[in-house]
Amino acid sequence: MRRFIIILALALIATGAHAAGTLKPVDAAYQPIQIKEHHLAVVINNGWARSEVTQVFSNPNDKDLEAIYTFPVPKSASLSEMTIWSGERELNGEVVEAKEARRVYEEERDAGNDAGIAEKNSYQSFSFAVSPVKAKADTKVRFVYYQPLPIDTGIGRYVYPLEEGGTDDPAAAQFWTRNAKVEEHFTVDVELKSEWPVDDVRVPGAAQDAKITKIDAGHYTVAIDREGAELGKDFVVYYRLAENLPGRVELVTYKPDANKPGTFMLVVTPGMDLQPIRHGADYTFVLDVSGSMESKLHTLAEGVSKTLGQMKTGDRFRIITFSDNARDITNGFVEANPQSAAEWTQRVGQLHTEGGTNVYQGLQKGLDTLSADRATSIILITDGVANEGIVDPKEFRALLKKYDVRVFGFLMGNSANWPLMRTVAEASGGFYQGVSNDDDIVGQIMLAKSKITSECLHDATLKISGVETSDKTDEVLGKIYRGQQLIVFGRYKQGGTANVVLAAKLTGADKTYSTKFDFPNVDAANPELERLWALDRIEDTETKINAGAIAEDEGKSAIASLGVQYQLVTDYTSMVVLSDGDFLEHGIERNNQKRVAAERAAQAARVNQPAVTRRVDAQQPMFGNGGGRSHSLGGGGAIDPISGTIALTLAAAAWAARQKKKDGEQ
Amino acid sequence: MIVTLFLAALAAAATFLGNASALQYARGAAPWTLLTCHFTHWSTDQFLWGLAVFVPLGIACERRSRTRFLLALSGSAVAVPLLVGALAPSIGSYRGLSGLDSALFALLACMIAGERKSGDRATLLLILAAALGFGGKIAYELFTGSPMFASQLGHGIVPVPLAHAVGAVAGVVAAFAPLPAFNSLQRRTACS
Repeated sequence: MRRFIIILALALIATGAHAAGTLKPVDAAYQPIQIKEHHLAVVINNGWARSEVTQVFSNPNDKDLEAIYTFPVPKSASLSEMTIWSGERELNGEVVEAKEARRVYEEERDAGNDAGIAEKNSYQSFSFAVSPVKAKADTKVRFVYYQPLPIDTGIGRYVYPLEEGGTDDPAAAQFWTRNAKVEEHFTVDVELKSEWPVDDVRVPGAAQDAKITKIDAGHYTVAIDREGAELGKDFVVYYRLAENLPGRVELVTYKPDANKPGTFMLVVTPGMDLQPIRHGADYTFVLDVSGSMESKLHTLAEGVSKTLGQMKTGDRFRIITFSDNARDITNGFVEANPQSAAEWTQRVGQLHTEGGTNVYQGLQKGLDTLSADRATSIILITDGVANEGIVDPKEFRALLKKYDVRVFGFLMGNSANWPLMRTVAEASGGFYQGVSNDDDIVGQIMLAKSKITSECLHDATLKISGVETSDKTDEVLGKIYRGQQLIVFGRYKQGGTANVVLAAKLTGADKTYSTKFDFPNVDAANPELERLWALDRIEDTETKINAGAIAEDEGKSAIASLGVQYQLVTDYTSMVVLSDGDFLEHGIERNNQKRVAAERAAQAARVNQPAVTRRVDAQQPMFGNGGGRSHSLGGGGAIDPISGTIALTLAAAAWAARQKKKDGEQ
Repeated sequence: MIVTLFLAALAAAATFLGNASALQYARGAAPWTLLTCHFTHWSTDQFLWGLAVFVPLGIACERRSRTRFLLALSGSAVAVPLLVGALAPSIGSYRGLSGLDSALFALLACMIAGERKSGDRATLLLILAAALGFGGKIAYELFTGSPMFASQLGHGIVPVPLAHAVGAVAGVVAAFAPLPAFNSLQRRTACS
């Protein structure tokens, strides 16, 4: 009975507010507002993606309404722009502290003026409220966000999340996942610009209607145009760089003023060859079998099966399942061999789902009976929000710090608890990875397995000297796995020559990789970098709050300050959308307007440019002269202008000789 | 010219529609990549330059002797990736038409030399100049280890002058290989 009441309460609270991809009247007595058009335009360049979402909504009712639109938060996304077109009027957004934004929005709404607000609901969703949506009229809403896109083992991945998920209550799941239909056009336009050759582009789940066009070796476009599409499935794009590219260091900077500090993003793609681990190791699978995993269980079983099938003699595995409680279904470790792999593949395929998500108990069970003399990896696969038992990240951190294990997390779906998983991965020296239901899930798990079962660099640090840097990603990197790219954001005072040293241990031996290159003193090409840097600082602060490394109030204040200064929607800052006059009336500075103007100017300048070279260690390669994995480069026969002219002259001479011969014969 | 145009179309299809990683030559890759690697490319520039040379040289050679044309192509197709693999350990993967272009260049130069009338010094000088220019550039790049032109192939992708050298040798071999069929080169050699 209590459970029923909770479900009912959830449903009532959620009325009109939380269906992915739909704009709904707050008052449920009215007909739902229709999505007439939904357009996604993505540019992937410079190591990050810019996503611009434009939607046209239509209010079929006879009354003006307030409406709310929700959208799952993409990983590390910085929501930077929101624009509403109401009739002929264009309203733009400015970020202020969350409470102030809400107050201003409600005041304008209650006065009957055009207004909007974008708010972040923890790690789960952004919500956009618009008032009024005019009766029998269209309203256009547009928002823009940026996110860094690292390359993993030569593969880049972009996800546009549309599918709700991550609740363990079937009734609520049915309610929350009532995805909307686009009445007219749903379009996607992706432009991918890579300075490195791209061998292949894949759009899983949309292969039928996605038009992939190769413009150049590193330049592709993907286009989709559907009529009457359901917004219930994520849009995922994979791109694979050419094989055997060299290990390298790439630098992107923004420093518009020579006398003021600049911002940088340093991307290190390690080029050392990390060999497969030859000795046996222990693997503990901790699998979420809570109610919401039902539709994903088959895929999960397939992933586990593939991983079990590739284990070597000497490896051992153990399988823990958890929902409300945790269970060791293998009763301890099992020696890996073809028979045991086949048996447990079948058993995992027969698992059933039910109950809530007690991640803590699952992990706790996975951590008991470890062998001190064997390396152990825990592979945690879940789609849910930890909603049973202990949910405090500090407790997770304390638990993991007691053991010498690495936790590798796979988060299925869009509403999983990213901050918690980040704390778990960071505390254990593992990594975590999001997996969309429309991903190549088995491929993702196999990619991760190649990391887990290969050597990794330990105690890695990345130090920059020669140029004064600050506010950067922690220089203590811990472990670096096979194929992993390192992204370091930071600020620098003045341009100059920097020494960058990556130091680490590989199978006990010290390894040092270094290079030297210049930071520019003026570079105005990438203003978006400041927002990405600020978001990196915000995520770092959140992790520190979760770890108890800084006081919660201090952390929240720092996040709010970054959010306002760099105009990012965070848990403590929101974007209020008003007319120019209303901003003036409320005394809100137009900081975002200035940022957006600079970003658009830079984007306009880049639009017809090919991908810019970002490699900075070409003269002094950080990973040696071969510079590549297995010291190999890509090569090709290349006809240059001299050879081409000589060859064509010879061909012309051949043609002339033949003509002369013909003439002679006549 | 039918074979030349067919191969040109094949190169366009492989470059723009094919799975480049599967078609390129790499150590330990499938044997068929010895042949397919020539038809896939790192960049549009590399493809266009390769094709711009391949088509006229291919048509000129094919018109003169389809047998020698095919011999030059098949010989260089196999020899270029094998020798690049064996003699250039830093090159992990290979793509591009230009090894075949070099073979056709050498074959055509030999054919024109064979066709020329005795005393035709202008043609001889032209061939010698072309051969010295083409061969000299390859030799320079082989000895200095750096290309004369900045790479248009992409970062981390380097030109391979060895491929041109191997291709040119294959072209010369194809020009002088004894064939059962009568051809202009043998006739010229017999007459002189």
